[in-house]
Amino acid sequence: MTLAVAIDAKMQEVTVWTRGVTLAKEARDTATLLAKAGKQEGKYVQSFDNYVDLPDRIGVPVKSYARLSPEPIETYYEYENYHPDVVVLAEETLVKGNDILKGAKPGCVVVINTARKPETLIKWISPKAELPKVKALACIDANVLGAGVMLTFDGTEGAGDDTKIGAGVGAAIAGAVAKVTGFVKLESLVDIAENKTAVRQGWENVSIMPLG
Amino acid sequence: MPIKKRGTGLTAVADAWQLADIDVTASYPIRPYTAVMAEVAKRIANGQMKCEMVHGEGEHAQFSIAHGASMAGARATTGSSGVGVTYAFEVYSPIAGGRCPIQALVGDRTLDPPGDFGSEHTDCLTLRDNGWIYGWAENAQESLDNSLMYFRIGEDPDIMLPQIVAMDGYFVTHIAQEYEMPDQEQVDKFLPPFRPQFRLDVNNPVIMGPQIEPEMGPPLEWDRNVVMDRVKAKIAAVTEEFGKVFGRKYAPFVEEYMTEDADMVFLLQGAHAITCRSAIKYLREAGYKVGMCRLRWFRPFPDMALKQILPKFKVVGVIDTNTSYGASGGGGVLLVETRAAVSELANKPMIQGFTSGLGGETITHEEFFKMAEMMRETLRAGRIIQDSTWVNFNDYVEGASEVKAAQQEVAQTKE
Repeated sequence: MTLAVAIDAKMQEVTVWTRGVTLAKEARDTATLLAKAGKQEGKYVQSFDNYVDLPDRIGVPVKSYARLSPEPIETYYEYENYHPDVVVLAEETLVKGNDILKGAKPGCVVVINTARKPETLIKWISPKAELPKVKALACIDANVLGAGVMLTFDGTEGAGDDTKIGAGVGAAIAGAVAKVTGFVKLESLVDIAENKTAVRQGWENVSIMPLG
Repeated sequence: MPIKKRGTGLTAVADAWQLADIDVTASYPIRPYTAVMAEVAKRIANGQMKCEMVHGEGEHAQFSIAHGASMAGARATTGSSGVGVTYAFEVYSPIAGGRCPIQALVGDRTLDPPGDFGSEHTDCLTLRDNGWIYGWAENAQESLDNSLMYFRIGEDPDIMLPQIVAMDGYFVTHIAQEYEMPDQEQVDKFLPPFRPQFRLDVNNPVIMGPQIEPEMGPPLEWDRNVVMDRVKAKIAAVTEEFGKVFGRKYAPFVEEYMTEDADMVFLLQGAHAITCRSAIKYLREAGYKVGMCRLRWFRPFPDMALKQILPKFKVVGVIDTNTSYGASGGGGVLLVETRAAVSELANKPMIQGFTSGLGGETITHEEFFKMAEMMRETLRAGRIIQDSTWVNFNDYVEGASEVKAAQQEVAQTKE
């Protein structure tokens, strides 16, 4: 038996792919900033790291998630974002060898932190069968904005993060995501991020390639 | 003033330990317990907490350190997960039998094999015969509140028992949520300092845990048995007082949700209650008269409360997020305990078992719907169709194969 009910139908899911330890904090900050900004705008939100990815292994692909919904989130204790609306790559090489579009919703947006043009990266995105679901591919060269990368274990494994939130490239990526998706307002992000310039620069410098 | 915070079950318990002004904590890393250790270390370094932190060389040492600290009169804490919990097995009975009221945080994790980080209650349930008192929290707030209540109950001079603040790994230990950290003044009012009647003291020597003659053992064991019964009244009183002081009212033993007109209920403990409540909302809209009973304590087992509550219903579906291979009924530990609690009642309901949420899998809405349907089939049949059902493995619900196929599809998207 299965009830024909749509659970969390209006929930927006953001999946941020990154590298274990070396870039984990920045990706977590991207997810945290988007969730916090959503909360500030009156949405129900969650943000958390993937538990199964083993985030203490250096350089392995790991994921951080944000969820925003106009209604209370019912799948509160789900492990992962199974149907992302937005897929973010905090580092460009993740585009190769990872099925980043798995389970993506139709109209999904991909945002990549890279110096390359969207046209040169699209050929790597997989699984290929999911590509028609992608509405736009956006690229932001967050690394050149001078915000830097923070290395810390604080905030991992369920501990509180007492370091600054959104001081590095993660803030610029969050700005780019906000512009491409419209999920949260620029002002909300600026309001909560440590590095407000990075958020604005991410918003301003993202290049968007519409697809489909 | 209480502080609104965003954090996890682990930061919430670290808050409770800070408020309780613990003297000693013994640590050893294992997921998902690890972050409470990191939190406490950070707070000691920041000067927020004054406490001695001793890092063991393993869980056996860790629990032994807390044991020793407690014998010396310290308010001591520790904790672990999964195989870490079982590695310390030898020392649980001595701690409880020695009436050392230490507090352990257990973030549940599966026992090997395979090496899996997900939550299963089996680790903590293996300790059920050792004289510790414990129950499961469903969220961060309840973890914090349980921690404070457990100190108060366990350290009571009439009780003196060790406690486990149990919570589902990942769901409660890792997912950030809103909770309230109480005011220090409130906590000081609720929880007096730990002052045991006897402690290791060179000026007033006592012996703790000596070798004894065979006939000297049973009276001590009788005493442990008696106190386990006595603790129930203490739990009821402290839970009520907690509500008065902090404004959060908990059912002392069993929380009932939408049970007033229910003819069938899910009976479970821990984090999955959150999804269960949401699933019940949809089931009610679809005409199922279903509710939920959530156990707030496992030891002592709330048999008296269940004797009063369960006869109201026709079918009880006990959800076990644990394994007890070869147990009566073929399900898990909760099924055995629940059936035993009401076995001698003339008007007992039909009690069937479900095993679900193993390996740390979320029990999804779909699975709750399916279990409700199986309970309805039991209700219609007027007899137990199958003692215990491993959800997705031996379902007897009509259309189960389609649901299974749909789930395999979902599993593929999960990898």
